[in-house]
Amino acid sequence: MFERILFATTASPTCDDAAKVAFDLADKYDSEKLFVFHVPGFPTRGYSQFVRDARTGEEEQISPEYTEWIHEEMKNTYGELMKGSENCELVTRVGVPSTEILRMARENEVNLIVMGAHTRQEDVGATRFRKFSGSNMRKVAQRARCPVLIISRPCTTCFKLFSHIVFATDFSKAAGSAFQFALEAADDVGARLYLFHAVDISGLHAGKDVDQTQIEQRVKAAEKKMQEKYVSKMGDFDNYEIAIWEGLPYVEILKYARDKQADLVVMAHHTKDVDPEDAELGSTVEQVVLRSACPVASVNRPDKL
Amino acid sequence: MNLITLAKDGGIIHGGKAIEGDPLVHLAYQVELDEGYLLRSYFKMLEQYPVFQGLNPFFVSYLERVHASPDHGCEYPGLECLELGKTVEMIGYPGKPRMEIYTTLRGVNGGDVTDIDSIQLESLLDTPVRLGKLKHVVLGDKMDIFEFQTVFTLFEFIDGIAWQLGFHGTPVECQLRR
Repeated sequence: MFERILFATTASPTCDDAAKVAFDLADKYDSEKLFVFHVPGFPTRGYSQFVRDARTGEEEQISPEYTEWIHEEMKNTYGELMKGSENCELVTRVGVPSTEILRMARENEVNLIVMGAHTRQEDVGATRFRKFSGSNMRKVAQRARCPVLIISRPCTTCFKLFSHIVFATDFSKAAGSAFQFALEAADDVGARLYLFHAVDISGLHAGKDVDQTQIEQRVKAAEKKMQEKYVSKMGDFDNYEIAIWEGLPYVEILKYARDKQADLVVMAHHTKDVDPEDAELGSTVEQVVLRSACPVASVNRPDKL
Repeated sequence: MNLITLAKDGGIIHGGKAIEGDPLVHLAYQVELDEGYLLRSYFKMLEQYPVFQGLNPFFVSYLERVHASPDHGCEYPGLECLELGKTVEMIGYPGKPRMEIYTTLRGVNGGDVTDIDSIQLESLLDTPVRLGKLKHVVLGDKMDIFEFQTVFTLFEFIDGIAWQLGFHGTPVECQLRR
């Protein structure tokens, strides 16, 4: 299912959890290629030989020796994981990280991009201010034509043997692509697929509380949509269950994922029917990525599913 | 003057007696913790003053988990206490230079500080809670951190712990179907 995986790394300990998942996946799916990809810095100007280090901001001179040194560092960092992976290739490029990651993914027709959620080692307390706005992860998730697997925490369940996939939907067009990915993944590995929708009763947008009758109506409507949009497209696949909860969507998704011992949460990149080029990372998926104990796959388009 | 004490039984003490009526006015007050204050005391406070439950969307589900837990003995081996700290961090790169102020709740074991994200809430309830210092991190230098005495308001206390607990959703175990 994941013949060509691109693991985009800052080559620092912040990506260790993502590295583990990327190598595990490549091993599990016997991937044809695992690219371990690092962009060391931004060009300072034009065809300059200098780059500004993406992490420290220091100016560095790009030379074959410098590139070789980066490769050595990457080999040291991922040496242990690379031992069992013959199809792994280390690649470095200079440029704007998100652009280069997308370019690399496009050129090599990768099926999955694996990334860490942060570029810095974060305190949990600090994450509320930093979130992912403007980050490479956000830009890659927005533009990628293949699913982007975002790892923000150590994977405590064994992802390479994952057995519970939660697909959280808002019934948008983008969610349709996410569903396709979730179904294929569940079918491929024999995982149970949980189709989940949270009826948003926060009432914040409407400026008023929603009463019980309205909630029940919306739950029924959601159940009907589940059948029409997803169950009808499942064919023979019967290892699934449907749940509709009410509450604040990201809280309910996290609660449900925990309840079901989810190994993977699949969501659309954004939550409204807008052009993917214009879409911001939805606040719901952002909140889920931030707190989820298991990997979150953000799916934007059906192109590479 | 504007000092309140958070009691082990969940009460909020001001001027020697438990506050009655709307507690919101005390959110900006400085807190001190009663002897033997536990994480469980925090949830008892939320029950005694339900208006605080609206401060975080996870409170309702966490109170359910607290109710489903044993009344005592909910401790994590080797974890001496939980410490709420405050950090002022000057950041130079990436992005524009900025300063961020945030709280952190961490586990303490002897002299060691440890992250608690992977520990279930049910294993933390009877762990003592204490107030820590303010750390000043300059431009990413986490080796030479300045530490200062500081104070916490009731809002910082409630919100700081709630934010951290919002990350405690780790599945208990891996249930493989195959």
